[in-house]
Amino acid sequence: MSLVLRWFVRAFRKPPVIVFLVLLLGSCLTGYGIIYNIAASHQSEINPNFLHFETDYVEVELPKNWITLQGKVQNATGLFFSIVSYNPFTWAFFQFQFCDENAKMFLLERSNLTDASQMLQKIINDTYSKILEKNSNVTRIFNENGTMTISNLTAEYSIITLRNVPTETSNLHNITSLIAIHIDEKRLIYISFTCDESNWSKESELFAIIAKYLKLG
Amino acid sequence: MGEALFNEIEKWDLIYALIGGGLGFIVVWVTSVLIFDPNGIGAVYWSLASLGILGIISFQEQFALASAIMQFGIVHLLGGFCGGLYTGYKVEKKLKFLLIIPGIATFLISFLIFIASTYFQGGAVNLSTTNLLGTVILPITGNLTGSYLGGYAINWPTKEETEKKEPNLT
Repeated sequence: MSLVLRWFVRAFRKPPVIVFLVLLLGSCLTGYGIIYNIAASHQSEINPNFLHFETDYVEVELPKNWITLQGKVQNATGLFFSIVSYNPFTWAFFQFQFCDENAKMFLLERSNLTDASQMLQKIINDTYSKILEKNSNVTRIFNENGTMTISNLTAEYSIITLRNVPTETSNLHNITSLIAIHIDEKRLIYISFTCDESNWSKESELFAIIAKYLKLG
Repeated sequence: MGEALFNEIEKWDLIYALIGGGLGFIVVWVTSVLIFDPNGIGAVYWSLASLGILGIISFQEQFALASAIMQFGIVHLLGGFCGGLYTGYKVEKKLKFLLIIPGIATFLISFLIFIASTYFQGGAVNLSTTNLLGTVILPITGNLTGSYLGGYAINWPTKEETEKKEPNLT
């Protein structure tokens, strides 16, 4: 047996080293146990590649590799709840926003809007104007307009493509975005899905799954 | 009793203990970056992404607990252990007292850098919103436990050494 190996064998027989190794391995196993438990307890029953997120306002299945953040603001203007989920590797974003009756009225009255299609148009125009300020060469293409059903509710939607959109690193992107809005007496639901134009056909399949199994609370 | 203790401790013993604390901090810093860096280079995030389950970090409270427990062992216990090993190698007397120093020093340096980095990023440390378990309790426990284990590990006599000291005459 080599000298080094003999030294290691002797060192690993010392009680403090054994306690150290037990604590080190124990903490790793406990941590991974909790991570495994998170993955198992939030596993989507519908699709093995999705995680199930349940909140007071929505139940949604989102891809396992997407990072999801949620936020809630409640003030005098009403209640705003949102979920943002993104794929950190392929530049794809999903956003869900719920506004209660007061928040809906606040948003509509602030811009003198009356229905979902007007709001949809305003959001698209405002977004385009903001991007134009950063890059005057940006172009906008309307791909599709119509209505879709999300969680038994009818929503107005538009699919638009914006070309030459500057990013934080000043690279130019071509992005395609689907924006859907549902407004009824009690609430406003806003859903958007954005990704690189070249990935749209692949990523929109994910959106189809997200939209299909989205349940409002 | 306290005076007698301080009389027995030499200036260099304290210096070695503080160097042990500095060494522990370096280990803490390197392992935090290599294993827990959230910007994609940390081994934990990299392995979650490779397994296709990066989304579980979205369950922030549960994931923060898992991360804090793993950091206890991989980062803080290991940092304290390395600091303790160095101190135990350099110092032989009064280990029971001196091994507190590398543990506390490792924690204090890490904690002060955490406060400074939070401040320079435009925030302030608010104890009511800070995760005390992950930022104070587990790190200080890990650093102190690791320091004592490291310090005693280097000075613990092996079976052969014990037999040499106490020859079996039977």
